[in-house]
Amino acid sequence: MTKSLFPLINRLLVETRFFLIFSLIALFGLSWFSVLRTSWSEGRQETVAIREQAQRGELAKAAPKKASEKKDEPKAEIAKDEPKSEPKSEPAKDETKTTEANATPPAPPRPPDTDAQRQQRRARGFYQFMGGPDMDMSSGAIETMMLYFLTVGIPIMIPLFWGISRGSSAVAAEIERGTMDMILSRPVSRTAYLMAHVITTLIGFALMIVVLIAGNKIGEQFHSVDLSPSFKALARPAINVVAMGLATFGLTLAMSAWDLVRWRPNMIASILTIAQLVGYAIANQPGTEDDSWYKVPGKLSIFSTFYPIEGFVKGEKIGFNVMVLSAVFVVGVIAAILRFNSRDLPANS
Amino acid sequence: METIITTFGLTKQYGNFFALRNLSLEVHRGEVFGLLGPNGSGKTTTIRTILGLIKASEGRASVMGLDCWHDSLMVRERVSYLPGELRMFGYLSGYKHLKFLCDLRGGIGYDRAVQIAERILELDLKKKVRQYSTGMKQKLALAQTFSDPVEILILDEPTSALDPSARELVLDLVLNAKSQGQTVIFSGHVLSEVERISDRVAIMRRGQLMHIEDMHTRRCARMVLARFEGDAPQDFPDDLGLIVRRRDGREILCEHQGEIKSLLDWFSRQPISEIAIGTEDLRELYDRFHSPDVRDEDLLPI
Repeated sequence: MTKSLFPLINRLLVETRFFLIFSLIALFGLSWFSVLRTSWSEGRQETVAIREQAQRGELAKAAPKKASEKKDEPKAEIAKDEPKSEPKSEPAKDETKTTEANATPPAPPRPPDTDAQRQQRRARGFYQFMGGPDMDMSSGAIETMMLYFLTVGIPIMIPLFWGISRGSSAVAAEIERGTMDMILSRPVSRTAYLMAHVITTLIGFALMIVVLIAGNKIGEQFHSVDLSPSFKALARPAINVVAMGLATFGLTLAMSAWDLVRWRPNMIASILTIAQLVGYAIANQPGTEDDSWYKVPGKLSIFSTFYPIEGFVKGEKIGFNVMVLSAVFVVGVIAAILRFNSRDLPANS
Repeated sequence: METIITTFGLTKQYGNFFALRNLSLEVHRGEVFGLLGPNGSGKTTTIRTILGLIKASEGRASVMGLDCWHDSLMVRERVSYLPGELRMFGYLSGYKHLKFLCDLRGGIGYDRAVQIAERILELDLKKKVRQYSTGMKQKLALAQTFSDPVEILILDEPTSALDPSARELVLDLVLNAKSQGQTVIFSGHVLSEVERISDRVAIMRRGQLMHIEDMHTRRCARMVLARFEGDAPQDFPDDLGLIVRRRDGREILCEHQGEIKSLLDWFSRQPISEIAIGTEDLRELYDRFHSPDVRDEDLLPI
């Protein structure tokens, strides 16, 4: 069995290299981006603090606690620049009025920006684009967009795509393409053939965990953040996300082992995934009661096994969730092996 | 003669359709065994059952005493198969394709595969397989099959996409494999090729085995077409070995096996106006089972 595993895995890695590399780059980038966003967010908070200090006339007395000296300089400049951008923001206007009412002396005239300041300002391009220091980051809409759509959603989707893609291609796609005849007419056991697909998929998932952690850690080297998460704190949600992909792979593989064409397991797995996502979204609407009927689809959803914040901070449910997801994967693989070993393999024509 | 492949009562049923029905045959070690029949006659199903890709509904198939379903892995260690429908890994070069398939057999036979592909079949192995024509793909697969150090080669329509010179090369490779003691099952539609290289030929129809012909005996047989001046005689001497195939007034067509001298002596004493002696090609045998006017009820499977 083992002598055929290596060439099979090697072939599958070559075959899937573009998909896998693109997925890994995307996950690495997103992980890096999460650090960048945290850095921006912290920078904004510091900027607001500096601005308030400047408005109270305390800027010369004390620097913000968390900001490094390098960070302070441009942020102070941004804060000095506030009166120009204040008309855009109602809360800022109110603050200015309050400041004026307290008869605080006006801020000194703003000196021209240095190159370093301009460079740093450009580096905060996205932050400026989103409204700069006047942006109200406490807005629920912006938080939701940043957290769920930009940060959490995509890293979940990529392992799911990988799982569905690899699962459906394992048996059904090879029968459909006719390449299975080439392989299984050689002395390759059907179990070895399936295990090669499983191992290749696991290699992909392992690499995904690595890049999710590496993206964050390498990103920290370029974007300063106040609190650097530990390796364990990064590994927990990464493993959790990948375990969801693993469970999806197991189910898709089992469906693929029954089928002759790839589109069917692909379609069913995709529909199930989308349905679970919708069920999860419905069940997690704010303000719903725990005994509501629409909590039920959320409980059945694979997405309910993913709690990034809890995973990140406490890791309380990670063990159980990963165990359940891994069990789904194992059941799927066993079902696929049993079915694949007992079925006919008709000619592709 | 040692039997290397045996099928007994082999049946494969899909719902009400019988892809194979009660197929019993034996293939002997070291022979070239031709499988003939139109599309849908059950040739590929037989082959896939032998390879363990399909499980028989009834009956059993065995290779060197190994059950083709339960011991499929060990069977495939002894068999090399050229599929009729070739689907390859287009992103691999010819070299890498051969290497990959050889690695699945433990890396054995790669050098010989390259040698056959480059020197005999004149294939450019540096190209990606996706750049190959259908015929070139078939050559690549043939190089792979003939290089495998196995005892049995199963070739499903191996010359279907090849030009005439390449067909000749393939037939030579088959005969070479036979001379080295390998057993070859040769399934095809080109009767002249099967006739030329086969030791025995099985003719299939609608999943049933209709006839097995020993080609050595057949090559010794001759057809005699004689036209008499009067009506042709109703009976012939038994010791002549003549079997009348067709009678049409003054003309008769007979199959003859035996001494030619006694036959010529006998005819020289008869009032014949014309006589032609030749051999019967496989087409006539094949048409007995597959000509358009043949009905199922007129045929009796083996």
